[in-house]
Parts: sequence; structure tokens; C-alpha cells
Amino acid sequence: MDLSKRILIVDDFATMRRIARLMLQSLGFTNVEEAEDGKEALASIRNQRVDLVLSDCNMPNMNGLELLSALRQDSDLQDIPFIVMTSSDQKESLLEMVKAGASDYIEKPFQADALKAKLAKYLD
Amino acid sequence: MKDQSMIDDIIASDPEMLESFVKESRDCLTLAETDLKYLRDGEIDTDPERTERAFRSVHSVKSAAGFLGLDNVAELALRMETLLDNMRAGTIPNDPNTLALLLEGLAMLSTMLQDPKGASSINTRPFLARLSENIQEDANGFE
Repeated sequence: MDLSKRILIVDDFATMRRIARLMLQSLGFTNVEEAEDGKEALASIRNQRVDLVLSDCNMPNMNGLELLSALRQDSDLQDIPFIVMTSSDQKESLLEMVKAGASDYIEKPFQADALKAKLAKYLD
Repeated sequence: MKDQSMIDDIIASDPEMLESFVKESRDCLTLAETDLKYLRDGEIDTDPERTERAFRSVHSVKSAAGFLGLDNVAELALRMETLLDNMRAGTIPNDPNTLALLLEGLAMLSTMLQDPKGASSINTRPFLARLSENIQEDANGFE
């Protein structure tokens, strides 16, 4: 797995971004960015492309589904792998995300090893 | 089964993590309280964004608490999130009884956050049972 790949964490809860960043760093990733909602994430990606998005569903301004849809409709960005951070009680939201083109999902709270296995599918 | 050693390692690598979580969670709960009081004191069903924001606040606290091994906090927040989810979907009315219950839950979460590691000793079962009863009664009686 290429540990220099650029990963964008998208979540409106700073503690959650902090946890995800620490996990990614513990796995060896050095190029980790953060955005606090879909709107900020989209601007960041359009400014500098990322290799993978790790995103929550429920966010203000632009939620995970809206961010995913915007990426999939953009010919330059539609191939970016998009992993949804979801909860066991968010089946409907997850289904919508999968239909909209989410690459994969990981259920919170997850372990670093589980995250590593998901990332390895998209960052070879 | 959750790997507590992994969670402990994360907290250990960032000593300010727990403190940061408590501060951010308190801010979220204060926002949720403001929104629910607005709904309680105003017209019913007038502002869906208030319910949506309260849902997001409780959802965030639940998710992070789960990672940090604060199971009692995560479980209470999960039940409240379910009630709020039903409210925003319209399957449960945001009537005074439901809002009072949610506000009581927010107060309990705030108490737990005063000593998050000690929160596991707080008996939340009676309140969780009341939440569940309320969901069932309202879900059956609301068209």
C-alpha cells in the first residue's frame, strides 16, 4: 500500500477527525487532510485532488451524500474512491450512499486494522 | 468485540483527546438543548432544521464516545439519536412529552461528561427503559 497517498477525512465533529487522523498516522500515512463538511471537502478536492475520501454521512451545509453526488457528477473527480464512515443504525443512509456510488463503507467504531484492510483495496 | 487496547493506545498517544471530546460534546449538547427548548416553547413542527441539528449533535457524541470506549455515554446517545431520528422522519411527534424526555437525556449526558471515565458506574437502565417505552407508545399512537 502506498503510504504517500493523500487522504481526506470529512466529519463535522473535530474529535472524530482527530481519531481518524491518529489511526491513519498509526498506519503510516503521512498525507492526511481534514474538512469539517462536504462543502469544505469539495473546495479542498477541487483545489488539490485527493486519492481517497473517508467521510461521515451527517454533516451541516453539505452532507456525505451531497458530497459524493457532487464528486460522481464531476468528470475530473468521479473516480476518487469514497469510503463512508457509518453506524450500524444508519442502514438507510448507507443504502443511499451505495446507490450514489460510494466505493465502500466502514462501521463506527472501527479498528485501525479494519480501516487498513479497506484502504488497501483502493490505494495499491 | 471492541479492541479496548487499540482505543487506549489512541488516547495515550493524544493525552488531550478526552478533554477535547468532553469540550466539543458539551458544545454540541448545549446547541441541542437550545434547539429542543425552542421546539418545546414554540409551535410544534415549525422548524425541522432544529430537529436535524439536535440529531447531528447527539449522533456525533455517540460516534466519538464509541471510539473512546465510553460505552455508557454511547448507549444513551444512541437511544436518544433513535428517538430524534424518528422525530425528524415524522413517525413520532415532537410533543412536550418527547421533548421533555430528550431534554432529560441531554442533562444526563452532561452529567456523565463531568467524569466520562466514571460514567460507566451510572445506572442509565431506568432512563433507557423510559426512552424505549416512549418510542413504542408514540410510534403506535401517532399517524
